[in-house]
Amino acid sequence: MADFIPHTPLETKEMLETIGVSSLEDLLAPYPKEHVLPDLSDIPSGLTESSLMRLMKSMAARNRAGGSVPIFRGAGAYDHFIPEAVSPLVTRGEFLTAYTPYQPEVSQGLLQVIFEYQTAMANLFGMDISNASVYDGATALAEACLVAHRQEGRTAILISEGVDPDIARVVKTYVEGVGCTLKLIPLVSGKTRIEDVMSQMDAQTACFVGAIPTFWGTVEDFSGFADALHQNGSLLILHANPHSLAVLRPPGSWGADLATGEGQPLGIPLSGGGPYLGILTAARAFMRKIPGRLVGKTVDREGRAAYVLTLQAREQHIRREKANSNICSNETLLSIQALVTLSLLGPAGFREAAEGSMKNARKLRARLLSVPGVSPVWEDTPFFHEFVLEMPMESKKLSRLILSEGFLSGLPLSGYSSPGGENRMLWCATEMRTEEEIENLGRALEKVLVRHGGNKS
Amino acid sequence: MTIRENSEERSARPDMHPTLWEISRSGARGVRPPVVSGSPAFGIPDVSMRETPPGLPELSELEAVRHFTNLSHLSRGVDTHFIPLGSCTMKYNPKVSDKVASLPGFSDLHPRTDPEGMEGLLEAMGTLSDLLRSLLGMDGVTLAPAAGAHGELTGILIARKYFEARGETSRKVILVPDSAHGTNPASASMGGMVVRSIASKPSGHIDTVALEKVLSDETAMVMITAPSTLGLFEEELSEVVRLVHKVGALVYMDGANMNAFLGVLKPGDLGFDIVHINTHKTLATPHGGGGPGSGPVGVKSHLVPFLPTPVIQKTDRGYSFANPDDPRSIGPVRSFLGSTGVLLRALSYVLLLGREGLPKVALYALLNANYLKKRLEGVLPGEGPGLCAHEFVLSAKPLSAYGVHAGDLAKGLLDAGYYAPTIHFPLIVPEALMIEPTECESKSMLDEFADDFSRIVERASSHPSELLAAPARTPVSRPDEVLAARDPVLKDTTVSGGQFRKN
Ligand SMILES: Cc1ncc(COP(=O)(O)O)c(C=O)c1O
Repeated sequence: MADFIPHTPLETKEMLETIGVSSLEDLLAPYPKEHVLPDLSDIPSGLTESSLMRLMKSMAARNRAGGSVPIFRGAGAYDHFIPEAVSPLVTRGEFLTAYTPYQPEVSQGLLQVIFEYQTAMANLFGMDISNASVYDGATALAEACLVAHRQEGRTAILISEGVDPDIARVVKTYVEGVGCTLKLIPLVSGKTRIEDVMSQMDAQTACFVGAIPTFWGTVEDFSGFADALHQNGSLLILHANPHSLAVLRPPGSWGADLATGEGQPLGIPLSGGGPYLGILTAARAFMRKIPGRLVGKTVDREGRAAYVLTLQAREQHIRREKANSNICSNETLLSIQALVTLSLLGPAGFREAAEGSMKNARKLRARLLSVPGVSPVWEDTPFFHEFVLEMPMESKKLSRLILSEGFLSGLPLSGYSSPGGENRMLWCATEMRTEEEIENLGRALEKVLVRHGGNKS
Repeated sequence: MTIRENSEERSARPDMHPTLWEISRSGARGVRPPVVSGSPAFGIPDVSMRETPPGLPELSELEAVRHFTNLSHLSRGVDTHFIPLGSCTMKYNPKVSDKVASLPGFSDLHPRTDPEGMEGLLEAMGTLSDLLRSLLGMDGVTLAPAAGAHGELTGILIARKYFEARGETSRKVILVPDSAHGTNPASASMGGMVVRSIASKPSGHIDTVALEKVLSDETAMVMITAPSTLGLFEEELSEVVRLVHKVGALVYMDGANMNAFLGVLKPGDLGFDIVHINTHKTLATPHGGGGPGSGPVGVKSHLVPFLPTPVIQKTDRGYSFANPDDPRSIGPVRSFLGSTGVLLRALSYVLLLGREGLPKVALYALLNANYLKKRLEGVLPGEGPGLCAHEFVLSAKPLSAYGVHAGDLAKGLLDAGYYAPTIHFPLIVPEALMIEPTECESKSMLDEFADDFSRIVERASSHPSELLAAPARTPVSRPDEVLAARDPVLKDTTVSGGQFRKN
């Protein structure tokens, strides 16, 4: 029912006359006649705003989302606190409905905000520089691996099993095209052993990729990794959850050459999977080798501080097939969202939120372990806000049963290779969970196990 | 809108806003996160803990709100200005679509929820796939790609897998017209293919004779932008498609310009095997100052098995995920289902317009482009008198005699209260200005723009120095791009956050 076309019938007539045609359909003359104005009978009639809202609300209501089910699942997407001021700021039309800031004189606000985002990410990851964003965490890591590959054309990418297996699959999709292969480095008690990396390293090793924390929640010690890799002419890439970097040692401090992350935990709603935010940071030596937009500070003709898109000679619109990447549109609005969130929380609030996640995760673990039949997979391996437990039932079934009790359980790990497994779940608690929710989840689990008789241990 | 010829304007320009770090006050607090009790003993060895806090700004909530609000005033969006950026389709982004994406149930849905807990989202995404399949005239659609270029890479990888499956591994060449967007050749090399450029005829159309010469059994695919970046419909498209298929290669449509076809022409009917569209152009999802976008890809039946995972399928019990382990798939191209927050907006737009409204989009996009083209006829040289599609390209070449270039005209337009057209693209037109008004602008806006544009071109010859000094009414004058690239300053060093122990 809507079409967002402002023309009055009289205006349309005048315009057609100016052009020198007699009807709108005449404008289709350059198109092949046999195909124009096709049958659209399988497209429904247009809706009014109110009927659209009614329809979409009824669809939304069929999802079991955070507003109605407490979320104890993470695995790459997290239910974090988002200050109320974030949405009104990022939905301002000047940000929301702008295009890429090609004309700097009328895009200074956008450019400065991106510059500030680059600063916040560089500081958070402990790296020299950050780009303006890529699509998501998985493609950020894939792009970083391609940077490593392009260094000298080496084709082997060593990747720790600590990296989300689903992200590793995206990396595989990306790097296979240019002839690279992934080699998995196993996790032993939740940790990647440097000797396993070194034994796999050879003249074809472009890089090693590790995770902070691992997909399975564990926190690693990457001491010595950078030196060992650099001696072999290989790069260290660390993929980090930015929320964890409020408290965990950042990639730059481990000597990473490139560091990536999924920015969703920084104030971006879960939204069923996107749009999210690909964070890509690097040591300065890679400034001209990384993909994506970069905003730099300069001066205008009167010497006033000004911001511009810079180092564009890396990009597709200049270099075409020789560009560092094909990326054009990125995730600018989400980068603004992350920056606004961090600015509202400040370093203290950001740290409190991360510590809140860690405290709740420990409470959750203790409560779940008090349920008969639930056992730990690792005893003392340090973890951030996620952990794997052995459950007394097939995990997908258990997940469904807990969902019908009104909770989103840990991620079922059946189908995942070790440390995943048939009966294992990856649990998560963020600062958003309450003691009451944790206790109620514990009771729901007990109830489900009693009623459906989990295999006793 | 008039150009104020007031040289005092410039000196009246205030200094730029301080950065977050410049206004940061040690100890200031903004919003508090939830309070969680419990012991801060986390059992993580010191070696893996952060030593110094990250360099983040410390502000009150009001200071942060003011900072971002004031910065927003220094940018231009569709909500505030006419943005005639060619090939970017800067149409109105309906507010109701934003509202839909933010509904509880969608915005707070965890992407790894069990399928039975995301029936509503699956139905929304399944419905959108069906609608796009119909509008594109294709047999299968993936909603995964995060932008147009990501859709192109997906298409390249699909073509690659398709030929691998057929044992035709020597097909490695992707042909790209010289008028194509830079993402086309860049996507092809990212997918490990070899790129060859094909020269256009002086008219801007594909030269079928030249094309036939380079087609061979090594050709994997030809990427065609339709309508082209010159706003032209390929006059010999059916012949191009026939020639490419004759050698066993595929034809790809870069559908960034799909606004010209929406509801009036289906790419599938034209013979394309693969097509991507940009929802942030054609389907009115906001571009957010550089993204998020979304680039759904449609394919014909022979390519459906190669689509990226996850795949949504329709069963008699509604929409669900198909088996994720089909070895023929190219695999996932990003995390999760897709940029669902963007796709929900695209779905809302298609549902609002429906079968009556969708063809009007293309018809009025053509009307506005042809009207503006006519109004600017004779002001600068263009492609000639024929009809254009959704956009048209002018050349500022004649102004070179006065030392004025396309970029200078763009700056004049900024002063006149517009965003600028796309400049220096397509590369085959010297001093190109690519103008796309979209269906959403009114006749009065187009008339005003045409008047201002004509006057600026006139002054380019009568008072060139004025244009070379433009813009005078913007927050800053022209930034020094050479300086920016020489010794790049890519972050604010007011507060250093990067100092940690090195191991
Ligand atoms: C013709 C054409 N192709 C491809 C693209 C790339 O799209 P995206 O920016 O969504 O990656 C664009 C965007 O400007 C375009 O105009």
